[in-house]
Amino acid sequence: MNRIQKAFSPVQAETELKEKTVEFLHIQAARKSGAAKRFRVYAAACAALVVLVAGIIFYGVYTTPVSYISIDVNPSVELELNLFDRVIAWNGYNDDGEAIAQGLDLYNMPYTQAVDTLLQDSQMEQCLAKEGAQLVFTVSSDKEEELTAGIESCQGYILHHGTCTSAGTEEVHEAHELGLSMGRYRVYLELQQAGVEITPEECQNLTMRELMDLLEETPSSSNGESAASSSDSTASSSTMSGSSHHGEENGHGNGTGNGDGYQWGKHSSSGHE
Amino acid sequence: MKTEEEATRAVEIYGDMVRRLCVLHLKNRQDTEDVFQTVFLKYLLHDAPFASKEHEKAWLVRVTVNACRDVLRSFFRKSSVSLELAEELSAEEEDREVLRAVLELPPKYKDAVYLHYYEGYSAAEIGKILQKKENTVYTWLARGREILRQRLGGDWE
Repeated sequence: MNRIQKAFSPVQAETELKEKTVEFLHIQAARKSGAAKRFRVYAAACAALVVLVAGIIFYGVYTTPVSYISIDVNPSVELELNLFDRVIAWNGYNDDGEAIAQGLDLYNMPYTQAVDTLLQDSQMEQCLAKEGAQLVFTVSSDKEEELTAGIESCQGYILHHGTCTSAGTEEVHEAHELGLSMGRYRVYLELQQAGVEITPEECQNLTMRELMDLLEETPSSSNGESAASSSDSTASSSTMSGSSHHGEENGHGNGTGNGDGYQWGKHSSSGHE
Repeated sequence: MKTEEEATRAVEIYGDMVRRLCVLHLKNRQDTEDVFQTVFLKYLLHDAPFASKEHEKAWLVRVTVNACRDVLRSFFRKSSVSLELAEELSAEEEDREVLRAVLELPPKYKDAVYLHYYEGYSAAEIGKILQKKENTVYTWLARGREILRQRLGGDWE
């Protein structure tokens, strides 16, 4: 043992110092583990809250209708689509429509698939098979062109020679207030403009064909600008028909009934004049 | 974080060494107690495992020396050590003389001298612990040894 070792050997940590330190460590350890536990609880609570809020927001976004597609023959069915163009609700707007709507489950379906499913429904097919039946789609959406293109590519649309028009959001609400689908509401407005006395209820249960005929029979309806587009500034009405069967001017229309049937959009009426 | 048991065991094993390192630098009891607690709290909170006992001991030396320096750096402290402490700590006059001589060395020399002569570390090991070059430690040891020789006579080792 050298002299430094000998001199320093008596220098030792006093028992009291060691005991104090051990006690201090005990308190610190308890505090740390308590803090860690609290932190874990808070972190878990925060994470749960974030997930919950995100879930609520997503659910809100998912279940908010942003687009409407109204499908009118005699049965009137309207599809409500969310931001992701999936069906979140489908409502019948007359007795036939309700009967069909009740028998289908379209929830969460992409709208093109929903359209085809709807048009393949046996009741719907029966209605479409009737002579002169009119299949009218009315789209109300910010991405109207995209949806219209989607609808026009549907098998049912091509098969049954559908037509597609568009409507503004306000029109949708007005139509719903009267218990009508968008498509019917457009014709209802035109009939009113043309001076035909018809109630929304009557409108509900006539076929589109009958409504079109009624419109045609009214003298003022054959006059260029449609009532709907002139009376309602929110309506951006334009008939975009993918089928050839409605235009007499292209030479192979199957009867005047079909050809002039829906001269209630700006486009079609000006095209025929 | 280590367990409380591990920290208590470290207090038992390394408490004396930490106390001696404190004596080298600190003047009063309160500072010693603060440093003592700080060092073992750091040990308790130290996450990484130690590779060996030597590693653990070296880690504690470094933490203690740094903790002492931190105390001395604080505004109201004086860096001188209490020489009365030598009287308190050692019974024999000869030992008190050696203690006094070591405590009066400049701080860097004290660490090197203590670690070399008491704990038996080589200059290279001291360099690693204190994060200094080996040659620097040699210089400190040589100068410290020279001062002690002058104070205590040629045969002090």
